[in-house]
Amino acid sequence: MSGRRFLELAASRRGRLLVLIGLLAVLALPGPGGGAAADGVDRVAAAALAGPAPRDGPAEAAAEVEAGADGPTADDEADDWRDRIASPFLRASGKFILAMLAFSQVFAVVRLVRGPTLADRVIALDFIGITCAAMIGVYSVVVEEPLYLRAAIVLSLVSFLGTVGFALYCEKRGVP
Amino acid sequence: MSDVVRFVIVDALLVAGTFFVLIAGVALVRMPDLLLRMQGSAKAGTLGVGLIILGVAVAYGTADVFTKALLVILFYFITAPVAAHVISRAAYRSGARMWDRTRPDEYRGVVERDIAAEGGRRPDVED
Repeated sequence: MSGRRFLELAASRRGRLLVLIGLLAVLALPGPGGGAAADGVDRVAAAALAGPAPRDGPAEAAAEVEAGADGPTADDEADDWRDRIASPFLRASGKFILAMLAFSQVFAVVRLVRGPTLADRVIALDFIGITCAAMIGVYSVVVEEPLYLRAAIVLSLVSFLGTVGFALYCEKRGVP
Repeated sequence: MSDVVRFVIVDALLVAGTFFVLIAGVALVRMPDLLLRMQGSAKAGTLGVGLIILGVAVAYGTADVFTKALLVILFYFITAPVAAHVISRAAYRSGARMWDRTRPDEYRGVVERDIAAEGGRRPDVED
């Protein structure tokens, strides 16, 4: 299949549906140790932040019941989900939120390929930078690692420089 | 601030920001014109990333993370309008095609006057 045929297929309605199904399949598949690695980072960050190591399910439930019988001060030390950075909802659905941001990136890539003018492609690249910063923010909360925000600072500056450079090129050369 | 209240605020901010970024992505594909695409992606995308980074700041709640998040939001709110303005101005002056139903086009006269002042060196603006 030549490149032009492939682009036409990807731009058609049936091709878009195929791309959507493929992305959902990739997201549904468990990666090669990705879940375990993320869980490891999660646990290390939680141990560094909260102090005591996370307990297992049944022991934690038993400790919670005991602490609830004792009093509120022991209760706050017993259950560790209150001391976490990410809420239980976010830890369960953080992958879905990241997938939604990735879908908007896919839209930007479609505009990057199809865009009739250079300015369309520059706008798409700028939007990809914005989406990367958003994904860095969400991922930083999900894995509870605040150091990733520095990458977002750098991205917010660098994408602006690229956009202004392309705009100067557009206006000097007269290329729309 | 209770932890449950913090959880609810953070989740609401992150979900709302993701919603706006997704809307901006849809606008980038579906809008018929360069300028319409530009305003869709620039405004909604900036609002979305601002909400998400604000959610990150509320989630950690410490001073250094709050400063960094504020810095990111400040950079985006300063640079995104400037970038959108510069790229749309460059595209319009170099003859980008507009949507045929965009009615008030007040910048056309300024561009034609500049072209006449420079001796017609710039390429003509297409209809």
